[in-house]
Amino acid sequence: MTNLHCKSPLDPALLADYWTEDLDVEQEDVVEEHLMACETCSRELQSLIALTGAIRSLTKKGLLRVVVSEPFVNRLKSDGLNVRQYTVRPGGGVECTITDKDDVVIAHLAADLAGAQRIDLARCDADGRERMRIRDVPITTDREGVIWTEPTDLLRSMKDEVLHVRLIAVDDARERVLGDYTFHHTASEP
Amino acid sequence: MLLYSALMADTSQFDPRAPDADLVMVISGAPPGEARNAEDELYRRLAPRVRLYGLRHLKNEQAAADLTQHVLMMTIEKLRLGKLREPEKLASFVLGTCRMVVLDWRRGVVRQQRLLEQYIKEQPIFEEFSTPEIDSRQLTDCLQQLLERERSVLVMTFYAERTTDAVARQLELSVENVRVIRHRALGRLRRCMTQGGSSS
Repeated sequence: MTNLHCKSPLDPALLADYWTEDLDVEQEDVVEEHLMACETCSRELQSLIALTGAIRSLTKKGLLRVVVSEPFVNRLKSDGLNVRQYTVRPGGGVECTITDKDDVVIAHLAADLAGAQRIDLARCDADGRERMRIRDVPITTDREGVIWTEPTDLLRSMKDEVLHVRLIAVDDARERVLGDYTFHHTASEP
Repeated sequence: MLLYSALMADTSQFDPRAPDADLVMVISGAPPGEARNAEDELYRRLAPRVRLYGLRHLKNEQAAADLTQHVLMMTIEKLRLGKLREPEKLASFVLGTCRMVVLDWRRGVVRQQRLLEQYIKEQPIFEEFSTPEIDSRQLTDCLQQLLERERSVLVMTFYAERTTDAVARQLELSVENVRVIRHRALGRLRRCMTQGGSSS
């Protein structure tokens, strides 16, 4: 039981499953026995925990662009974060901004996603031409649209601007527009 | 006793490559409380591991710290009394003690406060666990390079501490699929972080 060198290091995937409680009892016993005897692997787990903590911290500060679910938004609110949320209907627009008090900004693009195999999210110009596309965004269970957080540091750096966003359903080779959405962003107060 | 003398003779600290079993033998072979260097070294090695067990099972930093103190107190008491007959089974003993203590705490059994207080008086506290520094900006860049689904799975798992089952249900994925996505995402994230921010 030497501490610095591990002859049979645990697979990082196994460590991740241990941390997220996805192992059965027997597997968990084996991992815990190993971790208690092995400095190398316990440091590896420590690194994983540090990484997950950093992801949590970035999320809390609203610094990530990420598609989330309605229960996740509720969790942010119940954690005491100031969540600024905009819901836009297909073909609609919204006046939006960010203030010093906002921790997280959420955009909810309402759409009927029923039956869609894949959803893409596109940024367009004022004439409706696609400028950038994010393919295969996650679909949440309610299928009532796409909810995502926009990085707060980016929003705070923006001047008055109009953003055009499009949701597209991709089924086999066919595409259909689910909705166009317009965000009239007003720069945050200095 | 020969090993004890050899290890203690000309150094105030133990070789970090020395097996844990050697430390056990030194502590067990010395008069109670006299093998402080060996006890300190054992504490230094085991405290982070017990803390990890505590974090995983108690989900709370303070509770994990309490568990660490408590389990290591019990362990060193046992070693001082020479009651661990198979030194190479130290890890199993410590793990078993962790499990027993967590079970007891969950049952609401009162902690052995008297022993703990006595132990704390004489034992140096190793509060500072070395945690790897993570560059937030680099991590942000690396996270943004992941696929949307990968990022969603990581954030929903690790921010909200959702079970894999809950994440799977919210994202219309199978449990196995969520695990695969998470493994792949963590692998890509690690590679990106070690490569200084470039995706692979």
